[in-house]
Amino acid sequence: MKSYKVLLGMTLAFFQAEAQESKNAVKKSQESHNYIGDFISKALPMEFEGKSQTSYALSGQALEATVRHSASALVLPFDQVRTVKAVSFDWCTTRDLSKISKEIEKTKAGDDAALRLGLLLEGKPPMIPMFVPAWIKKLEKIVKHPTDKVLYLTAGVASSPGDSWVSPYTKYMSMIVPTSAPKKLDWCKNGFSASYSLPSPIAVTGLWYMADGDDTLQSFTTWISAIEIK
Amino acid sequence: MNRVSGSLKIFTGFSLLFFSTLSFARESKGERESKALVLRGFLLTLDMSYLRCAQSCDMDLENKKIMEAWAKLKPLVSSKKPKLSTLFSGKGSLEIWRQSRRIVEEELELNLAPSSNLSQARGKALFSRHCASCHGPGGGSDGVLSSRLSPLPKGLNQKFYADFLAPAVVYNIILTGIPGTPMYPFKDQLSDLDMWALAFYTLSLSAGDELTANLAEASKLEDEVSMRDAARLNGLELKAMGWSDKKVRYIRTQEVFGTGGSK
Repeated sequence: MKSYKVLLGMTLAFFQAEAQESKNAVKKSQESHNYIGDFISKALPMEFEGKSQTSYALSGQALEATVRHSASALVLPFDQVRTVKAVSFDWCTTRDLSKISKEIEKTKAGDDAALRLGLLLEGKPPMIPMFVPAWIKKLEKIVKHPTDKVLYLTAGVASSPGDSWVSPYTKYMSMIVPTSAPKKLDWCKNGFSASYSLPSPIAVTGLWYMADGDDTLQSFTTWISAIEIK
Repeated sequence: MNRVSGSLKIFTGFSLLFFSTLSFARESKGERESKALVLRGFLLTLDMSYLRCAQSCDMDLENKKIMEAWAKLKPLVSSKKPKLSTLFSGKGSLEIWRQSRRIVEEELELNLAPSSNLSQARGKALFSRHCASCHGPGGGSDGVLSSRLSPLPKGLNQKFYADFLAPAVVYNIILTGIPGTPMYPFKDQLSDLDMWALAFYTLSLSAGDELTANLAEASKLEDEVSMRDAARLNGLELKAMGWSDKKVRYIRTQEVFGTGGSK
């Protein structure tokens, strides 16, 4: 009789532990957001006048960008402003960097990147004169909260991790190169895991994703996956 | 059998003694490191008050802050350090704080100068990687993140810093960070030498334009000032030693210690 009770107790304890584990798994999956899925289903295209468009598609777990001397982006506005302290993602590319220098990529002639994950920063929108490029006006209509700047985490470039500069095209866009470490990815050779921690939390109204080769006249494919925002 | 058992006991005894000594040594090293960090935190309080009051401040309030920080630190300081027991008991002034820093540095044997030569180029690369996004590429507080941070990162290119900051103070700020601000500590990210290279480079930003000088002049300057003094003394202190403004600018902007030996 006694051993029957012990057995019953152990069985109950086992099922309780199982139930807790599955509860934790559900909680964890709710916490990690699928931004790749959102870029496919919810993001809006952003084109630039006179530029051919980069094509974006879902490829397994990754968002695939096919660049043919092209430049266009996907913009994913957030419903609520998010406070962001750190961003990480996995990526890989076929972009050839052998003829790109740090100096040239800070000018209009070299302003391309294998990947730009832009943080749309909350702030009072700038006064927009009549003659500004159409994309600035379009962005203002897409975002759900006042936005004044795009901070690109720029990977697959010649510049070193930590390097930062203002876009040669507009003062409303800036680049920072995140740290990238090699990572074995199922879906790509020569994969990387990138991460960037901000010195203090920043209010973000959405994401902007872009791969561009219009200025350097390059063609390549880039994949991004596992975007995490903390 | 008895002999074997006896040797085994002796061996076990020695092993226990060895490992307990090892663990004691490790613990005391850890304790030393955490104590040094507390002391550096105190120097940061002292340096911040010094910088604020070099411009404009409520001197009594700043002195109160320093005395409170000192009161917390006092139990950690050995009673065998006589000069320290007389510190921070009265009214504060820039001169008292400056002298007090010197005493604290020396009595507590903190790392006060780079252990080997520094490279200006290395300092520049580190600044670009770790500092420019907040402080701006030339230290003008115009980095891509500057406007998003509160408080706004300091414009490190102001002449004021060349006068009132020494590389040892900048090194301390890099190592400990400034609590309550986005300036976070770099002690786990950078080597000691890299933090020194960054500290020296950072001060070159406020020193004015680079001066061209021939190698003879450079080696003469190395004879006049040691690496330790170049690290510890601010611009005003160097000038108080009879240095001209030009010489101070020279030592801050040139790689004076890059090729020669450190003293």
